Amino acid sequence: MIRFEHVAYSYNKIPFIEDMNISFEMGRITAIIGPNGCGKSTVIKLLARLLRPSRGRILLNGLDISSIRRKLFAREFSVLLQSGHIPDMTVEQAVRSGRYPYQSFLEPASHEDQFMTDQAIAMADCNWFREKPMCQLSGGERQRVFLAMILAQDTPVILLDEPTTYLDINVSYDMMELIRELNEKMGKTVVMVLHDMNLALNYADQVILMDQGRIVSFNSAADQGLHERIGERFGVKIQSVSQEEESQFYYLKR
Amino acid sequence: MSTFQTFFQEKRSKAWIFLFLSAAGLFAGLMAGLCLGASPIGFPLLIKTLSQGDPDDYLFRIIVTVRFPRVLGALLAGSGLAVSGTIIQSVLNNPLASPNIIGVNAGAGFFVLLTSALLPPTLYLLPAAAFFGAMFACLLVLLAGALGQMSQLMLVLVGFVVNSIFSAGMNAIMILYPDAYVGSGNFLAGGLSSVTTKALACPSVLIMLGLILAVLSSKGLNLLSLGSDYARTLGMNVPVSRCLYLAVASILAGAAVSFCGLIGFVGLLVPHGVKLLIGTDNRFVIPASALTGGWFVIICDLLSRTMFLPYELPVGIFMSLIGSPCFLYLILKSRKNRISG
Repeated sequence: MIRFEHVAYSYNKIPFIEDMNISFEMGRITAIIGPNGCGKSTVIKLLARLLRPSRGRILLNGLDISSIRRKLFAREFSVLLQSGHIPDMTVEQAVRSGRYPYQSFLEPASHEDQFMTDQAIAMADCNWFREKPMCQLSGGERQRVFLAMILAQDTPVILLDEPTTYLDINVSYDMMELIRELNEKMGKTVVMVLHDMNLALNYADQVILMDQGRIVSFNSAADQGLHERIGERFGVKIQSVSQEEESQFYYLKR
Repeated sequence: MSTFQTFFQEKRSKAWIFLFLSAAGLFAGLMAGLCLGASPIGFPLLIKTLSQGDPDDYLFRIIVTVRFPRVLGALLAGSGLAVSGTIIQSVLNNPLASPNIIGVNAGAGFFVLLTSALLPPTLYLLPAAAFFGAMFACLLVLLAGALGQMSQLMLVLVGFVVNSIFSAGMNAIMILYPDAYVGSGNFLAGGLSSVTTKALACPSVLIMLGLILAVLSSKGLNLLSLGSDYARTLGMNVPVSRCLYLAVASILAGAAVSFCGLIGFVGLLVPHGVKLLIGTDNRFVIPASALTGGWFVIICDLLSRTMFLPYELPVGIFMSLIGSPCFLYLILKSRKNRISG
């Protein structure tokens, strides 16, 4: 269980998050959506300890996350960031650095490290370019490499900040399928910020709608009230499409 | 496929081969440095003279008191500056950063000249002052980069400013205290002609220490190349690590500057060349830079003292002549995918 207790975050006296109280259950996929600048990425950064709450605290199973030692924390939470930086290394090197939290000073990579690295590269479908330097890849390929890196990190909780930003639509769906598989087969807890509401509704168990640093709605993805509130905020309407006895939701322009 | 063939195809094996070749190159450079000069000695004669060890033999005296300190100085300066450059490039995440470009050498040089102008001459004081100056320049650049959220190009510009300030300081000291540093003309250009074994004692210990620390830092330097946010989410204490690594880079650059002055470009060229050949894994790049930097400066020094006999150029000038066009080439080549202005 991850719990936000009265968490607020402001920078230069501008509030980004105001008094947030929320619990994430383990083993679920949660999507955070909302208009630009609503503070959804800030939530991910607070969870990843890249930012410190100005007030309140975040608890992992009752333990304040700011009290966890760095490497132990990195074995609990992995993060896919929105980063424009292109590391000066090969794909395999980048993925292997996901094993850093498990290695002690100077210790060479173990067989387990190599196994996890290979497995992560295969899962994220990076095998055919694993020897290439990162600067020769497309944005989408790079994103997959970083996904492989956090898979190698092998944490119970995975945080994703707009994972589909650089991806073509088919690759976005592939990534979402992979995330669903990680959740179903390995029981990973996933918290992700998504810009694409169609992906959020169809792949998340629960959806948090944020606006101006506050939570507007926190419901299961199929909830009627949630759909109405999203519709109000963005001026769109929901359409349910049934396909092979499974209904999917799509937003259309009103 | 035989294991032998796979060995040669893997990148890692390439790195091992490169390490072996540069070690061999270093040995060859050392021997050439001892044999060649104003009066060349054949290799068999070198061995014979050294094994006899006759202090009255003039050849023995030339080898031990003139050539040996010079070759050792070139080796130490080359290794120290090349590894320092490798570290600084990784820490600042910037392929253009190197101790001479961002003002680390100038910072060290300024404090060396200041110390020798104001304080009585002591052999151990100069390396300490050089380390202090190098670290000071590093921290200035790091601080400016952290405060201003700078792009890679801006960071180099800040380094350039730091470099200009310290260079101006050095020139001012030279004019105010012309006798501050023996052979100060050589100091600014970077030369090894006045190096003695005695002056090398303290820097050689520091550089050995720095090289060991650099090898120990290589894994962390790899992680920093991912960018500071990912390094943090993977469990690294980024600000502390950055400062520690820059301290190691400052020990190396400072110790080198304290006896050879401002030798430029080896700290930029060698890491780049090595990375082009064996990839960017610092666990290999750091030892490879140490070896390559060593033989590169030995060879350059050898050329600079033999090409224009009976005159000799300071090795720093000689290297800048080769280095500047190479630097230009690197800028043009990396403009596309690495530097976002």
